Amino acid sequence: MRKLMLILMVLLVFCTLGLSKTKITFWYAISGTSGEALKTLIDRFQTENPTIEVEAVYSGKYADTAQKITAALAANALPNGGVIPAGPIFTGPRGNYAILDYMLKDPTFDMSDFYDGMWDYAKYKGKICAVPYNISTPVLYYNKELMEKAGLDPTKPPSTWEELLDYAKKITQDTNGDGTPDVWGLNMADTAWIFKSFLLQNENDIVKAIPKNEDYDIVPLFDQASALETAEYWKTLIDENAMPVGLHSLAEKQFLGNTLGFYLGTSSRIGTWTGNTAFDFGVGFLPKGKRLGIPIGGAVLVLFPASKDQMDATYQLIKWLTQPDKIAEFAMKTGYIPIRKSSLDLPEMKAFFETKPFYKTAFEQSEYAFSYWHFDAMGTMDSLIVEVLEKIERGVSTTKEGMKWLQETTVEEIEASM
Amino acid sequence: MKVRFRGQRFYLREIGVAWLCLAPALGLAVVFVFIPLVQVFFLSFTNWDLLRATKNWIGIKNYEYIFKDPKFLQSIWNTLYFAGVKIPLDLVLSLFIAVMLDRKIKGLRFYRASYFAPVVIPVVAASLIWVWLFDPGLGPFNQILGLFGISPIRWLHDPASSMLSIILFSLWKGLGYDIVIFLAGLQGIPPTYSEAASIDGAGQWKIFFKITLPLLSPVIFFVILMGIINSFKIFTEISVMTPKGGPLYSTGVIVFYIYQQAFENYRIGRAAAASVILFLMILAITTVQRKLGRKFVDYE
Repeated sequence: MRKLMLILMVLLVFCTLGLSKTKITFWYAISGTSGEALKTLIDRFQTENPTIEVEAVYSGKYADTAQKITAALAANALPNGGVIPAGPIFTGPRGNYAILDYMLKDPTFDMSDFYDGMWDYAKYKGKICAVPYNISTPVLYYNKELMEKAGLDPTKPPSTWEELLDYAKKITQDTNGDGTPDVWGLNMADTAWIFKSFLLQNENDIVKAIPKNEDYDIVPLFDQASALETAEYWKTLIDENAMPVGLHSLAEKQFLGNTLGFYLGTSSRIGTWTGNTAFDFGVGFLPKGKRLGIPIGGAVLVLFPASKDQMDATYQLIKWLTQPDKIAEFAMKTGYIPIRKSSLDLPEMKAFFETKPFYKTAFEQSEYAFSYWHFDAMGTMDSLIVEVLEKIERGVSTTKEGMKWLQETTVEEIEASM
Repeated sequence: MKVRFRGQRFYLREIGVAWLCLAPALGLAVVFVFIPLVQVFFLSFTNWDLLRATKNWIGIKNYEYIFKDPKFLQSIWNTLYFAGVKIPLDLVLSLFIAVMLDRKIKGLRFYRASYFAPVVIPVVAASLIWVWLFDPGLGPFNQILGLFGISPIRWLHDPASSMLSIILFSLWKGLGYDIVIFLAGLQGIPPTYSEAASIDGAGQWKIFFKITLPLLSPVIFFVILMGIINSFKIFTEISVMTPKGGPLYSTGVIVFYIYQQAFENYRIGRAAAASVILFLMILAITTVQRKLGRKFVDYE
């Protein structure tokens, strides 16, 4: 009988040992090729770290994920971490800067290897509260076939605002003669993002942070003369038939349907589109205004409060995912840009550029990457930009009224969110 | 032991059993309806933003904000416009089709099934299909119009046609349901009335307007009531087909506005205030309708 007890005891101990795996839940907001790439990496992390069990859950598109996270915040049912859009909004305001403490205490984590523009994208009130991860920049996709048809040199995509307007105008065509053009020169799905790029290129920052009583006031900069100029350029694109009014949600479809000359949008489409279009296309830098300026977008890695074991394990995963070779692998598979400088120096990355020059374009933009700290009303600000552009395009407001309204409303919204 | 309840005497045990039987349904209603209902009123006076745990009392500021917000006022108008155009069209069309289907014609089952089919398709799937049908460039609708020499319409992408496009979709989607209800109503009318009328020399039209229609009035009332409630609740197709509320917010309805404030702008307070207004509107409309209903509807 005693023997039996002993065996049972030993078994019990083994069982608990087996169970002592730390289990963490990890949400991610990327799907398709990118989602697969991340999943593969996480699987590899698990084989390398058998004591950690990662339950990786696809949490839906950016908007859906943001919604789920807000609900989880309210219900205290957060995952342990994840690849989360607008991540700093979900950590900073709650005083969760744990990830920064981990990184600062970890001598093997080289924060200086990340581009500065990337760190800004992970800040709330000037303090890091996330780690940049799947970051993309807008690039210019150009349809070589349509450029040729319009009598343009398909090896020379537009490189300035003037060229963009001029070339796009030439591409716009009414091929079936029903009175409305069915081939368009230029379009973009994310008007807020592209408009912000144009602003930056016109030497007009988006917002500035003014220190005030150990806090910051975020002030939008849409009331500058250079911002008005940018809005006027936008209006010219419409007036001269380079870009359709209010068909932005169809932009990707138009490009893939061979009815759009230039598409401005996220570099993360490179991976998906290459080899899948009926026509030949190229990828270039966004045409520049007074300077090159590229606002980054995407999602960041976040760490949510939990037990120490779980937080340690989640940090381990985050650190592993952001190692230079893992970053390089993820970037090469997806078209998201490498967030670390050393990733670009890896031999596999150099060999990759030889065969896939498109990626080089996107990745080299990292140097001009620009971002601002996250603030509570930043999503609202983007919606307001979309709204004002629509009003300007449809002639409901003049550029002047529009930009004035945008400035005032954004200020109000930021104040109301304090 | 006996107790009195509403003038009747019951055993205490009977009352206990009644409560026990009611408990599951009541519990669900309390947790998912009554508590949130009270909370919405409370939240509409706070500035809660979902991101922080704190909720500060800010009085009627949220109400002031939404009544000054042109988008909220527009969303009320859009909702009324949707209901005002859709319900009469739906009523006439579904009644007409129901009367057509209420006779012995060839292929009756096929017709009934095909009118009902859209009802069982999930709204999101159907909306996605219609987004493609409405596509201003490659969409079938414009191609068909093109065959007749009509220049393309921008459907969902033009403020003048966007809400009408949504109404067209909703009509197609919901028609079958109302047809079935009308059919049931029509078949519940004993043929003796119309037979008697036709012996007395009444024509088809007269029979329809003087006999069928009055006898159908409870069903019509029901269809209108449901139509109004559903119109005020419309959201899914709007959100799928025009994710930003359509061109110049022309399809932004009240529920969509609430959703945007809550989950895009994180302004739970404003969303709650708009919900309270929506609640009061539906309450007012149903009250008026019930009064009118008593006057005009024959319940035999």
